[in-house]
Amino acid sequence: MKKWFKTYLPFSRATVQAHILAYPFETFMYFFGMTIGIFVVYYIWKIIYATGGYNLLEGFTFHEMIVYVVLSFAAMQVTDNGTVWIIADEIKSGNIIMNLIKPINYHMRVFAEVGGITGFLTMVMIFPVLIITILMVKIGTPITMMFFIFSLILGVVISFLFDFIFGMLAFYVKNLWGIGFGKYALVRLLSGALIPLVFFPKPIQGVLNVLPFKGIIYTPVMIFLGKYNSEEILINLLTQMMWIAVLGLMNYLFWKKAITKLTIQGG
Amino acid sequence: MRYLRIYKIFLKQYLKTLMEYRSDFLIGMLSFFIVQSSNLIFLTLIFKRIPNLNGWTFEEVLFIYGFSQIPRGLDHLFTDNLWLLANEYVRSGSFDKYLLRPINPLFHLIAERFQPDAFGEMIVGLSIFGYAYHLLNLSFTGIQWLLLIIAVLSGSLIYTSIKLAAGSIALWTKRSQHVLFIIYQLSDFASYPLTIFSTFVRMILLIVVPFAFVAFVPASVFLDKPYIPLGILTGAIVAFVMWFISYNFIWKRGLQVYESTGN
Repeated sequence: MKKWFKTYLPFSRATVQAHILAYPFETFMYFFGMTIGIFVVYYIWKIIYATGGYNLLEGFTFHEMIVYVVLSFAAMQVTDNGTVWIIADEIKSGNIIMNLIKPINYHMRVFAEVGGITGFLTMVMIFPVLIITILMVKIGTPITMMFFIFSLILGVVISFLFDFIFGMLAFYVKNLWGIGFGKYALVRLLSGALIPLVFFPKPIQGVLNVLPFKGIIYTPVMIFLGKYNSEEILINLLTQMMWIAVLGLMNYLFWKKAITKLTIQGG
Repeated sequence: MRYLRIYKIFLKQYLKTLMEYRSDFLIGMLSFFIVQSSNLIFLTLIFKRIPNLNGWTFEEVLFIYGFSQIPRGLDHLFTDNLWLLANEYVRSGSFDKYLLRPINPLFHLIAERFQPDAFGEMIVGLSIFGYAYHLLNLSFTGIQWLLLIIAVLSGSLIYTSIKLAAGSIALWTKRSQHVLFIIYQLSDFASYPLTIFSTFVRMILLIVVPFAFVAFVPASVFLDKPYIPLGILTGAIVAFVMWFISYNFIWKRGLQVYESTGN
């Protein structure tokens, strides 16, 4: 375990330094830019609760809805941590070969890199939101917060494993930007980051329940809001773990097939 | 005329690379299609709970939303290289080449890239627009169609001017993608009725970064609920003023202070 940390932790540190700390002002501006979307959604929900005269909409009070919007946004930033870009870019540029010949696990190294970003963003985005929510808005408790963090970590792993498979699309297409952007939009919709999944018609909810995306955003956020009882929490956490196993196996199989076929042009 | 011919040559070159990677073209389009459709799904789902959004019916909101994607897509199709100006051209030194050719540097910059991903936005925009047009039982006269075209072109010009202004900042700072990103994100507000936002937000979108004129103001005219009098004319004037300021006072000034990063 200690050796493991010693091997992979430097990758985390280096990525955080290169992508966040090297240009702190720019990074801040990007996050500020990303939050603009939240304001649009905020105004829309505000009007909905006001014109509809709702106290409770699909089980959400207005305040809970806003916490849902903000927290699912923050969770989206934390889970969408650039895995697709790293893999797609290494495949395209041929740098992947230099990383394959090193005596370290490829998946682990990429996970360490993006995990650094995730950890950093969790510190600066998720924790402040959680603490402010618990203390000022009086939604959520330290206990639901603990379960949220645990569930979010599982969500991060699910997202990583899914992104890894998605990034391997770069073997076939060059439009990395399109891949990354499309994936973001798709996950945002299916994971409940755009609108809580209970708003979908029942049959579609049934489909979304058996897809892995729910475990990335919806499950942790609903746990934090206290919408699940202890039994439901347990079932949801187990579902998340099951998806990690399934996606992990898929990764293993695809990867084994992909690298035996890998041809590098130039390199 | 000469510029039109040059643009054709650039475009032909670009289309050749496009044919080489046909799947990329489809993926890019599909991506923007997913983005736009997911917003549409959001609207559909929330309108199940409310009869109208601050006095705007579902059909009217669709009309505004669809409308907003058309000028956005049009600008995206032609001027995507402004993003690269903001991101890397100045810093990497490759901006020099635009200054060394006997054509207008801005024309060269823009002509060099053609972004078919934008078709995703335009297809969704036109479909939603057409659908809303049908649901609302609208029937535009010839003059209204003409006004519509003017409004769409003005909207695109507003997008382009804003992108040019923010992208040109890179001529001073080497990089301005973050500035462009923030300002571009504000256009999210442009796809919805302006009246649902607070006064502060409205003022920003009308005066500071005039995205309100891209879709909402003209759409409100076509929906017979004009937000301001002479909306389309005002929009066109705003577009020209924006372009004039961006081109003359920011882009051209930027070229004068530009220093190559060299290599």
